[in-house]
Amino acid sequence: MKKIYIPGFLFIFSCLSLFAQERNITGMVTSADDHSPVPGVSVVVKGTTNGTVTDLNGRFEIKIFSAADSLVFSSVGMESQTISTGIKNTFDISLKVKSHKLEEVVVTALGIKREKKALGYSVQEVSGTELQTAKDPSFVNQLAGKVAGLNISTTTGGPGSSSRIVLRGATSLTGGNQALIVIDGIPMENNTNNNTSQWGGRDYGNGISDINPDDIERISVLKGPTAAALYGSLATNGVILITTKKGKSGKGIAVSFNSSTSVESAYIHEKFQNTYGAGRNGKFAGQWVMGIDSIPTYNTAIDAVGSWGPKMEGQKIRDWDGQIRNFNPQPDNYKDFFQTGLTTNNSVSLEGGSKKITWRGSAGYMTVKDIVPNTTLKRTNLSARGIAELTSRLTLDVSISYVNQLANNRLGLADSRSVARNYVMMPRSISLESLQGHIMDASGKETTWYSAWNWMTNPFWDIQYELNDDSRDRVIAMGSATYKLTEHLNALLRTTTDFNTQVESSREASYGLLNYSGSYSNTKLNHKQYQSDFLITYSDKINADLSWNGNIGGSTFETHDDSNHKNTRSGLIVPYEYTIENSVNYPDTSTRLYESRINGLYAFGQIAYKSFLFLDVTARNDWSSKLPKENRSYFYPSVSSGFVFTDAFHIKENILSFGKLRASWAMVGRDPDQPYLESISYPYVSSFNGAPMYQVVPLIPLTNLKPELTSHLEVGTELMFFTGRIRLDFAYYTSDTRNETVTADISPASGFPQAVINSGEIKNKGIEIILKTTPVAAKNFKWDVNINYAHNENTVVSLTEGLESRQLLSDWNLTIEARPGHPYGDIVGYAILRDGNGNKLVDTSGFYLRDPNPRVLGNINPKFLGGILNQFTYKNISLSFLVDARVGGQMFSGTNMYGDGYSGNLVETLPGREGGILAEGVTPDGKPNKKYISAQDYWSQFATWTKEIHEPFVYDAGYVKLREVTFGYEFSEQLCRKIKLKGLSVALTGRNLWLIYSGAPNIDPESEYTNGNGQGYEKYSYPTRRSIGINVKIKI
Amino acid sequence: MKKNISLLLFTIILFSGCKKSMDELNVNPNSPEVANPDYLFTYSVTKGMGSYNTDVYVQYWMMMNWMMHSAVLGGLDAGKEYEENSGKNNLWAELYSQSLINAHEVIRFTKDDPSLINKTSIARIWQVYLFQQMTDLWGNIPYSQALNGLANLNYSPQYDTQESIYTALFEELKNASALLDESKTIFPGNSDPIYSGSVSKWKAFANSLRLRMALRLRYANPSKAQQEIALLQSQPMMASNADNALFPYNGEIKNPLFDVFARGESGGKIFPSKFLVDKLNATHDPRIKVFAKPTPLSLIFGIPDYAGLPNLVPAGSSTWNNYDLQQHSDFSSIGDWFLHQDVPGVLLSYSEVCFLQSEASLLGWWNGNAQQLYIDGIRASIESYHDTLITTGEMNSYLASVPAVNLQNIITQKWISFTFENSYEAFADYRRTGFPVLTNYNGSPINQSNFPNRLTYPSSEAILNSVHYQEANSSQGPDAASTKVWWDKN
Repeated sequence: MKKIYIPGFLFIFSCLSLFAQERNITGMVTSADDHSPVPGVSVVVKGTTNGTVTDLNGRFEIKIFSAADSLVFSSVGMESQTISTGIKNTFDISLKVKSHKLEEVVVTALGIKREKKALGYSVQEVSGTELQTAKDPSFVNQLAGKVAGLNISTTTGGPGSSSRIVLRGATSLTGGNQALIVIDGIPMENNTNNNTSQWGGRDYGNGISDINPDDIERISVLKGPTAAALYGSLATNGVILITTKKGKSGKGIAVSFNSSTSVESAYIHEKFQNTYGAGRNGKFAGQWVMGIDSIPTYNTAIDAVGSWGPKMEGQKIRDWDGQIRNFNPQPDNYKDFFQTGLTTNNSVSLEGGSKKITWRGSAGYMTVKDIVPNTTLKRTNLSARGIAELTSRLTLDVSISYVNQLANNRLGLADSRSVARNYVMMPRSISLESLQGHIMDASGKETTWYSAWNWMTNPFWDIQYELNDDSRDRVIAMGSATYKLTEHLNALLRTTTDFNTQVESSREASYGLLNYSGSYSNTKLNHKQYQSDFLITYSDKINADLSWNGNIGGSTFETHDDSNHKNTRSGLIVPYEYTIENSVNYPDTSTRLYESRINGLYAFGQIAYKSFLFLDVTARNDWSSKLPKENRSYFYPSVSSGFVFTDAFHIKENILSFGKLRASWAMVGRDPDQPYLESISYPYVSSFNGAPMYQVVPLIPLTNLKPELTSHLEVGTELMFFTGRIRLDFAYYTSDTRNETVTADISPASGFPQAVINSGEIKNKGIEIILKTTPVAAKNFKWDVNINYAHNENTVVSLTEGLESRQLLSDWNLTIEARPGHPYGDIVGYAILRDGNGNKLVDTSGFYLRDPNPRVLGNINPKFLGGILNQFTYKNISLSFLVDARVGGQMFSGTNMYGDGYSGNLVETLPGREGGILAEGVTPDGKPNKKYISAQDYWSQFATWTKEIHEPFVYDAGYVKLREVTFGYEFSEQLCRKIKLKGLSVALTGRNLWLIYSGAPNIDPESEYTNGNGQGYEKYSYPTRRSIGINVKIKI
Repeated sequence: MKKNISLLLFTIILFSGCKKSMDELNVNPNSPEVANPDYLFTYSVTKGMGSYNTDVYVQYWMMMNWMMHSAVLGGLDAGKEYEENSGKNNLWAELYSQSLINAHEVIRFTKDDPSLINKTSIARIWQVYLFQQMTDLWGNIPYSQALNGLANLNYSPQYDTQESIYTALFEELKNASALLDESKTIFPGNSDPIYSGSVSKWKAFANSLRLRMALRLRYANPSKAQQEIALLQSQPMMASNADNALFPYNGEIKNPLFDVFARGESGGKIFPSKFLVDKLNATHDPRIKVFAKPTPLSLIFGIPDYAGLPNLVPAGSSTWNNYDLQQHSDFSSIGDWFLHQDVPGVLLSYSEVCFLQSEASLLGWWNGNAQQLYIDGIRASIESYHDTLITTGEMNSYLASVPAVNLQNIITQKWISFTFENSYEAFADYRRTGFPVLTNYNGSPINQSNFPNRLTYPSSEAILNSVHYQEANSSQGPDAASTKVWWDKN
């Protein structure tokens, strides 16, 4: 303002000065897609050369000279936006991703955001919003069917059970095959804690279920080693990269609520027969003794199970509990055992921020009342994150989250204390009321319908007296500092921790059938892992066409596991007193400590030519403490390239709008899962009569232990047709894993059952197709169809030299094995003997002959996995449903084997009950079998202990499921404004609604009891939990 | 620039820290790298005794029924009684890789210290006991190269012939027991669960075991047998039940058979056999009260009576159906004496030594009174139950009534004394001598061609040690139950 102006114009000028005065405009640019900040957006004052770009946090600051100035925001892959500045000084801009270009930004290894089109490998993303409506207690289960090449399998052990997460097939025989979980740069401990073997056990879940899905911004799935190479040893099996939400600066505090309530019902797959009850060969025999009063009297001490007796026609009987009853079917005795489950999941988040500081905090609380009475799960999540731009050069990002999970009475799986098993065996004439009313006798001893052997416990006793609980406290924290050294040079320093403590205790009551003297055990597991890393990034342009960046980074990753286990020995002195001191004999205790460290140094860089040709190179060297000094260091490189040929050749947009070819090759080294494999030791075992006992470790160490190596080749293409209406991503990959650190079985005559060796080779190859289409895109109506397809072919090339097979799981003489030349996971068991012409052989008594040698009855690998997600949007209403399928592959079903062969409880055993059954086949002299045998004899021949014939119970493992349905309504902005809300939506949700097709009868084919490498073995699975709920989201 | 330097320094501090080095991190903090041999020996002994995985499967499901000490109600289909189960795999694995290897480590840790000679020697004697048990069951087994997985990285040891193993075991027993020295350190406290370190008892055990081994060769190599027995005449042997080699099962390690005997309310599925009960009934053997309970039905009528469950009833026969339907109110269940978790495990007893000496005396290879030794053996057996159920009067009248000594009577008495305690040894005697004469449910002799002569090798050997497994089969005969072991000339 100069004094030269005439005072009379002062007023006018002072008004004009508002416009003419130069001032700073600040703001933040976010993506309309996921509200994440967009760096590198060009901000230009329209019609001038005055401009700037947004920084890493999407922020900008620009000087303007007039209120009439407009700002133009533009970025590759985004739709440009122009705003007029007016008198406002801050602007938050939300840029839309250009829909017809495959120029989205994805999160890649180390959390680095990259343009998807520049990548030479496949990365598939799932937006957090897809996980925040139809919720599963463990969000990762919601990824099933949504990502090509991702195989999620679960056990039926109740809410919070573990999820097995495998990308692109198994590579390891004895080690983990599961993907690494990284949350905001923090490698997350995700060990499965499922102690189930054939004798039973419980599934205590794995760590990934601790995450509150409402905190998730998006999930990036790095499927192959190339994508994951920078994570090094941890990432051989791919990475699930979770990015959580950050705060946004804006006016005031934004508050969001997400509330879900759902009811779960038992979706029972067993088709029980309700015609014949307890007995033997159609008579009141077996369990029955004739009473003096001529009333058939059930004797629980007789070793007989199931329903091979007479028709249930209301005959007068003296039941197992001594009551006189009518002999009637109990069609709902299993169904009525279950209750309606209830799950509530509520979370609230607050976020806000100023120009320099953004923050977000959230809290979540989930409770699950399972369908099995007394089984519950509770989870509390608290998290906070703040990002502060301390100076123009230094930005800090700090986050911390706390999780507490409390589970009561995890379910008994497989053979012990499994309610499901009990009902597979229990005569169809046993009523729920009789079991419920007679769980113990006058002396307090457990009673049930069977006492000849102690494994058929009373399910009502089990849920009241055989209790367990476990709690987990977890703190995950991250702090990082980014420092802009020069315009081209950035440095990042980050440190992360994941601490969790888990306490498990189990209380077995005295006078129970399975453990008459009672017991108490308590285990405390402490897991800590730390990672610190740094990254220095330099990026520059050589000329207008050629740009490059180079990065150097390093990390140190350390794990610390200690555990403390105590259990009473030989029973409890005072019944029902659950303390360690109450042990009859000196209690067993053990403490363990496992520590390891991996240091890594890496360098990577990218060269881009005219933004259509990209070349990436990475190199990493690791040093692992689990390896002996001379082999401790190992190096592996990767190279990948993307070529956008539509840009290179200027192909017209309207048909083929985008086309890219990509190729990559990578090697990843991996250290052994376990430390201390190279030296001998003498662990404490227990004590006997006060004398301590130690043993030589039953594993011959390998002094020259080497890292395992996986090489991976991937080629693929991304195509987009009709300006984005059809988008196709195709990948073909091969991978080859060698030199696995295996604890190999050796001849025990060597003095040791196992030895550590480096050996074997496993190959995987496969294709993945992601097809996204929008068949209808009208003004008010849109229909999207997303299809995922993955086919993986696995070959176990070799095992240890001379070894023909390796067991992955063994249960009642059926094994899941890895055999050279076969895909991983052969189902090996006993079959019916065949003659030279392939006819089944029957002996002269009418029974099948068993092939004396076990043979391969099937393989667990499916032909393909796929999912179809349909989404319809009409104005504010949306409907989506996900159907997923597994096609091909086989599985063994113990429920069927024992439900048919042992108990005769399943409908398949009804034919021939009256006239007998003819085993189809020929007698050894080649003539057709003509000898009828009773239905009981027919079925029992398959399931007699140590004489099992598994063959009839190996099924097609395929299924088609209606996995998820969401029907939602989003209230319009106007309406929201009226009720003073920023957003409101409601949705009806359903999960696991319909098993549309199942290759195996009486079960859900997705029912494992272990999440280890021995998959494909179902036994006594619990019903699927069918869930229907309502979800409400509110933004204030 | 200052900031850059401080950043760099921060990085260095972060990465170096005051933490354990890589080498330190790879030291196992959970267990020591050397062990106290006493602690290893205790473990070796407990694992050499039967465990649930081995004894229950091998004794309960197989040998006790083969040897007709017991019969299983409806559990073993007729015609399939002689099938093996997976317990034999566990037995092989546990004996080699839990029991023998830890005894081997005891020897390794003590052999260079002359003051520990008793520990070395006892571990050697213990190994001989286990190796003999194994070769008796399987025939040729890895011996000379066994247990060398750690020392020589020999993961697939060669098999030795039974004959050469016996030769080596005699040598080993002789040398080891000669080195026992009362003046030297013993296994302290309860670290030796069998004899609490007593050197003299281990010496008597070693000599008694040598007698058992020698008579095993009676038919295969009589001169060797006679020669070994002659050497023993001057040596101390077990002289009373107080010298019995017993494993003191307790609440910590329960007698594995108790686990099945005591299951459920009725004693589960296993019953004293008809063959056993008939034999005891016929001779008024007072031990029937130890082995069996009166039938529930007889108790209702007030006249306690014993009845056993028959073996080898053909499925579908009328007898089968009758038994199947009648259930066990007609049968005696296992006697209370055995229904305790702390029923001791018997490795070798004074009564067996008496029977062995009696047999050797009959041959004129031992300087003793065969009849007296035979009676002593029976008495020792009865007295070992120290059961108030049997009065001295009952015992004496029974002793007076037993038929005079001969091989059949010795082995039959031995077989009775092994009831529910040592079917392994009964199985060996039967293969060697053919006694007792086992008969079917209907009294006819059993079909010898079905009766197993050995256990087949664990299925894992064919896979994990295939070359030597094949060698063993070409040396000994096909890996079948019908193949006889070397000393089985019967």
